[in-house]
Amino acid sequence: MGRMTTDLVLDQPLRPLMELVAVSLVVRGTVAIDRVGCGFDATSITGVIGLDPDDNERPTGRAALRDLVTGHALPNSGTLRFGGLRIDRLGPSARVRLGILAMRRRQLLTTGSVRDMLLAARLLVSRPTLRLVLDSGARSSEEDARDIDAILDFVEIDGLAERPVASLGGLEARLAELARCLAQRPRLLLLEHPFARLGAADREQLARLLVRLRKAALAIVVIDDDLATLGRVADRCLVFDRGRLIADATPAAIGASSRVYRLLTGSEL
Amino acid sequence: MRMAPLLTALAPFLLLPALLAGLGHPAAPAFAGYAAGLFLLAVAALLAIGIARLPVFCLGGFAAAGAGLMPLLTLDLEWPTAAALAVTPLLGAGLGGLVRLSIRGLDAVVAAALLLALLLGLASLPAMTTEPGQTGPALDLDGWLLLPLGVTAALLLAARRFADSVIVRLHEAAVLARLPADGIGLELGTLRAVALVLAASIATLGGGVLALGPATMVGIDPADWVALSLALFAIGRLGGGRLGAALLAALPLALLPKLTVALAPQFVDLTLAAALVAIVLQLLVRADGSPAWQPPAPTLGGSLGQSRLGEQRWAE
Repeated sequence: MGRMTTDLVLDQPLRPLMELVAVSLVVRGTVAIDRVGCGFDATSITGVIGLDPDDNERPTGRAALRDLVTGHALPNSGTLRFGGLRIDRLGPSARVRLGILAMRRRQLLTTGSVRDMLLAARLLVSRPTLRLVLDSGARSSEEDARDIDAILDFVEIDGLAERPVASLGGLEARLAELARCLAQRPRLLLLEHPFARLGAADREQLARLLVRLRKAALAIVVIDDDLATLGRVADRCLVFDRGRLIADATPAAIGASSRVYRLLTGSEL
Repeated sequence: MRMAPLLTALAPFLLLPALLAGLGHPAAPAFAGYAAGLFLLAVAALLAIGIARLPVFCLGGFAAAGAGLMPLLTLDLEWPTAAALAVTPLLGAGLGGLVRLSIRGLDAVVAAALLLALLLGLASLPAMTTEPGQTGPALDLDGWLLLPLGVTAALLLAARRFADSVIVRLHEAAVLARLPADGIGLELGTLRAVALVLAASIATLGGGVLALGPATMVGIDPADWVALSLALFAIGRLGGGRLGAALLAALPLALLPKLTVALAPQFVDLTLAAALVAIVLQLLVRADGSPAWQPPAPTLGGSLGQSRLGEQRWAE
């Protein structure tokens, strides 16, 4: 029996948790993603950077990649797999239930306390929607409540649990939003510009947290322009230019590539 | 659901029929039926348009289907009026489910056109089942009366549970913060399907109540129901997810036409006028109650609100 199991594992090539195969996306006549193939592994942090990210006339393709991952955009061609399951046509809410969560730049819901938000977010993935729609008295279980306390503790915002979400700002808001994602039992966590407009100490705290999260078998995808921080936390980086994936390598390899370095920084290595 | 504003908004619907009855006005029973029907229609508009944000232009059509079914069941099939009234929501539930299935995944403009065509079809039903000048079936005060009262109570209870549910509150928060609700796991398809089926059931019941006698049945002309649909759309938008606000928005319909229909049969024109007033109000006042000519109140919504690729500028 044990041999069979070993054979099965050996017969199956190791696959990333999420895999994009020759994916293309056209938005308003513009090729936003051009035959991109890449994967996001569990227990790894993948940085996503783009050339000329401030040029709105020439999108790098990172926003398109984000929407392809979350399901807010469906590919025109190619396939997306998550845990071996094809998810090309799945919408955002179904992907959230599968464990594909996105944390964006600023905070999420603005009503109630941080704990309320987390409990409500947990309810969304732990109860059938129809029950939630027809049950005004839906309450979280004690197990959920304990989980939320553990998440608040893990993210180191247990002191903010009773604070109104609307009163949070800066790092606090980002950590609360990250905690919301964790409350929804993520398997893949996409973070959009998590380090933007944070001071050095806050960036460091968030980076340490991401490294701890990686150990929890999460696939973490970080879209950001902070190359220095990404270089320290990411296991590998994807570099996008006008919808094309031009590099997929470790930060060290990308840093050592004179061509990519020149394209990214505008100066010679 | 906060009760004080709701009771304030509900007061005219309760006090005006009581006032007419107290004055011994012969139109008091008809007005009471009209106020009750309008209340149900306001609840339906709240669910489908105010809460679920569906572009449903055909709520008046569902009401027309209910009004058209009543004479069919009571006169042709000789059902007791109360029993006929109690089954009208079943027709609404079926219609609501069909509509949801047919507009699912459609572009908003195509869905709106489809619903408009459905409205025109349904609006002509009362004219097919009722003769001009015919009196509506009267509701007897006997044991059968418990049946529609029970159905109404069950539907209103379901509507209240829906409006107070976690998922609706989260959806409302996401809308206010301009966030795509599905990005946090809100399954909008189920929410909208439940809202539409509930709203259609209640609207059909409301239409059935409007068709009650013993007065001459109003609203045989399809134009009445089309005008009512437009008014209900405005009421739903003005309500913005609050029953009290939806009822206040429905007040022009309660005050203008039916108070005077007892005095003069100008129902059609006044309904249309009220619908136009409501639409103008909708243009002037946002769903959250703030005036449209002032800048919108700042929200703390994040970049999730910009997440739909097709709706955002190319910024990363």
